[in-house]
Amino acid sequence: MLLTLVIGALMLGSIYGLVGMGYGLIYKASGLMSLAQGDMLMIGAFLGLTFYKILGLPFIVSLLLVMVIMFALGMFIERVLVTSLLAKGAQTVYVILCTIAISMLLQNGAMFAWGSNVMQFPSIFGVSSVNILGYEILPERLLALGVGIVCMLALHFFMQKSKFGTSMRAAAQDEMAASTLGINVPRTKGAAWGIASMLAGSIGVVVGPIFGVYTAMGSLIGQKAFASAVVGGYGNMYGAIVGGIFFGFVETFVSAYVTSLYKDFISFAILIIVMIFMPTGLFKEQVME
Amino acid sequence: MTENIMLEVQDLTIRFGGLVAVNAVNFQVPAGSIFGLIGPNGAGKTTLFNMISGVYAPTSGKVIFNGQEIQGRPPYKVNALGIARTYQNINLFKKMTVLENVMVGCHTKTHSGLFSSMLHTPKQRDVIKKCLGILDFMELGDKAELKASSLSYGEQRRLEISRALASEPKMLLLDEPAAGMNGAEKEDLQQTIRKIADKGITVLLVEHDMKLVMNVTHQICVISFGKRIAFGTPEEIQQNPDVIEAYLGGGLDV
Amino acid sequence: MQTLNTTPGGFLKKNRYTLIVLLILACVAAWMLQERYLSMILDYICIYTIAVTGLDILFGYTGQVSFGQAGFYAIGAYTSTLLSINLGIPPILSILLGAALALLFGILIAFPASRLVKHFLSLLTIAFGQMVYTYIVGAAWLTRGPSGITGIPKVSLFGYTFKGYQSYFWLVLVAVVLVLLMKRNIINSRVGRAFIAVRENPHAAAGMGINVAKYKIMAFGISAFLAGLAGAFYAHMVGFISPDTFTSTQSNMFMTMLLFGGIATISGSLIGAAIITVITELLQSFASAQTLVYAGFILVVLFFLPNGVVGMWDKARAMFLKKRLGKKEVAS
Repeated sequence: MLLTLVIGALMLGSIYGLVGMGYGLIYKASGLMSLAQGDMLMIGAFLGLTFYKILGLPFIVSLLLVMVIMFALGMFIERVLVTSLLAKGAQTVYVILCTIAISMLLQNGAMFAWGSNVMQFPSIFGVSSVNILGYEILPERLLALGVGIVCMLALHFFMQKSKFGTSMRAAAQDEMAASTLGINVPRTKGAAWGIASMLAGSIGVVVGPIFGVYTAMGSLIGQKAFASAVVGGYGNMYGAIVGGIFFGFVETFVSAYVTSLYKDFISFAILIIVMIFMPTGLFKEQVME
Repeated sequence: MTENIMLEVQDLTIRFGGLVAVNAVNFQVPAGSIFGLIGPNGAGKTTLFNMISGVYAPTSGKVIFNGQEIQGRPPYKVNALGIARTYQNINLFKKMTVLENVMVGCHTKTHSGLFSSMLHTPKQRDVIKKCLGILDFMELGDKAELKASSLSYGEQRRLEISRALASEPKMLLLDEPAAGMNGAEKEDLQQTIRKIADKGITVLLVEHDMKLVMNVTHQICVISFGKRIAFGTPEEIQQNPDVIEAYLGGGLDV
Repeated sequence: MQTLNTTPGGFLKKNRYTLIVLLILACVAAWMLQERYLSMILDYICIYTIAVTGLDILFGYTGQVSFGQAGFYAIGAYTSTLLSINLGIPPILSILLGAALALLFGILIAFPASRLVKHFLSLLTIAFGQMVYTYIVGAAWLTRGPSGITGIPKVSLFGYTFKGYQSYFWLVLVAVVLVLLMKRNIINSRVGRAFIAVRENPHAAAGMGINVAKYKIMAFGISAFLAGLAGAFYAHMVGFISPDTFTSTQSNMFMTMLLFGGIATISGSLIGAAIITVITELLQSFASAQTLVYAGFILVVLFFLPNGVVGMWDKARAMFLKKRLGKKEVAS
């Protein structure tokens, strides 16, 4: 029982954390906030379902296709919509509002494309459960956890070791200095949005088999993810993972031992308390004037 | 003696991390005088201003205004006590009209709260009259209805002074008021500063234009690298070898 | 700011004129349209205008964003409902108590909010809205959870009960007129100038003796009170409330109405609420595309109408006047 709960909490936590990392990445690279991350996850799930179930492509091919499409979508939103909005001299609040509109468009668009029912993502492994130390665990949960860890590590090495990752970090720290060093700052910003949306989309594909795929699946996850990002310290990518796992445990254990009625309420209440008493989160980032 | 001192700064020190931006600075500003605060770029003049006006709380030392210790109080309380200021980088309410900017300056001198505001349109005639008077005094009377952002640079500086005057200060802090002004505007500014002092308002002036400072002030305090290096009348300052030393390279054009 | 009367009576008279015209229009509309359905739309417009006016004072004038107004709207609605059903408090009183509780929450949330920069203020307000929503869903012992509360009593005043949408209109109309008058008075006062000063330049505002945190909290309080008031009026109008009404979509709708009408104007909130409510109703048969329509509205405003309908109108009028002036010059 306990192990199942811990794995469940870790899985949920890594979902929140990875989507939350996307928020952090976007904030770090462009100083902006996107509220469409949850719906990117949903779109990823629907696309994955389409490729895997309807077109019958192998799972790994479906996942890669989703990643490419989601990267392009994220980049498009930043390069085309956000940039032209900022060029008009809009306040950053309007960018947030723009991403809210995008999230509405994606949800309603998905409803037209795929209908408003919950769609079942077929099992990926063909077995209903695996046995670990005598506990029955759904293999898709392990996959989600695994993909989560792989994504985290991949992003870490990409940001720390690759040339492009280094230029992204440089651009985030000092835009002016970076552009005088010949770094294409607009491209790094677009790439950050692209990577964030790619992360969310691929998470969507792996959680599809667990939660089912439906148009509203992203909104609550998206909000929990930003809660994770805030608790971890907004803009700190690794903080988001810690925050995500924290909320994964809170939610799983509150549902299991206290009441499932209030699990979402408790998460948001914790978020507000953190914002009041520890607004910089666990890993400090600047949030005050 | 003390009743003649408007502002006294005692051993005022502020540290940002390991950096000591202002180091044990002392000076006294006599009531009704025009007092200059000069020094090379980065000497800590604006930081001193920010401590006096409450933007920064000093690490140690005292700011005594009119016999009261005021260091560490928030800016809005310092203003209510009678210190008004202008800013090195103009800080106007850009989308408000010139007149409205000045009316905001009257904030502490008027007292209508939320509920009295809600229930009736308060009689603003007196406030408007007072503010138009200030604008006339600052030669901005004909611009009252324009947006603040549409004014020229020199006019914006004068508007900042007007707004500060609206709070009926005992003391006015001017942070580089001549920056970006042409020769004629600087001449006008000199007259204006004298006229303000004639009204009984003590003026503390930070300025790079040495001619203006030497012409208009009664006393000058010179700081360099956060420390006071000289104090005296303009004549004394011009003779002071330390001051000339500090300005070497910067050039002390008098 | 065009909304501040600089010469006493100048802009005031103009605004009063607009208000009177709108008032007459509204009266005529309600009298002529004896139909239940059309009166309901008018009621909704009034209720939304109250909430959007609060948001305008907060966002338009004071520059503090809130994406969680639905939370205050819900607090007003549920408080008034529960007080009138469970304790038998007359609705006309419970509505005010509901708004008062929203005010209290507004002030509580404003204390940390007044210190946060814009992005985090957005997050905090979204989190607040979600917290209220998830509480309503979860706390079934109090709110009857997702199934909602039915049989909410109608408002009575001096022995007269506002039963139908037609009669209720007069009640909410009076409320809207009072709210708009109050807004105008506040904006033209010392308090209103302090709000705008905080929005334009908080540092300079503090330098001019304005207690920035106090005015931010005040603006939050007003916006929460008005959202709560609107929520309570809503509950007693429809007689049934459930969590579905109080999602973040509602918060976004208030923001859309405000931006569409035009921020920091007296009539913008009314115009925005009216246009969006009517269009939403007209598109009722395409209910499945409703969020699409909202999203479209937001994007249109962001990209093409940054100052809303009122801003567009002002611009058109300015161009027209300029043209006429030009012709006169040519003629002379």
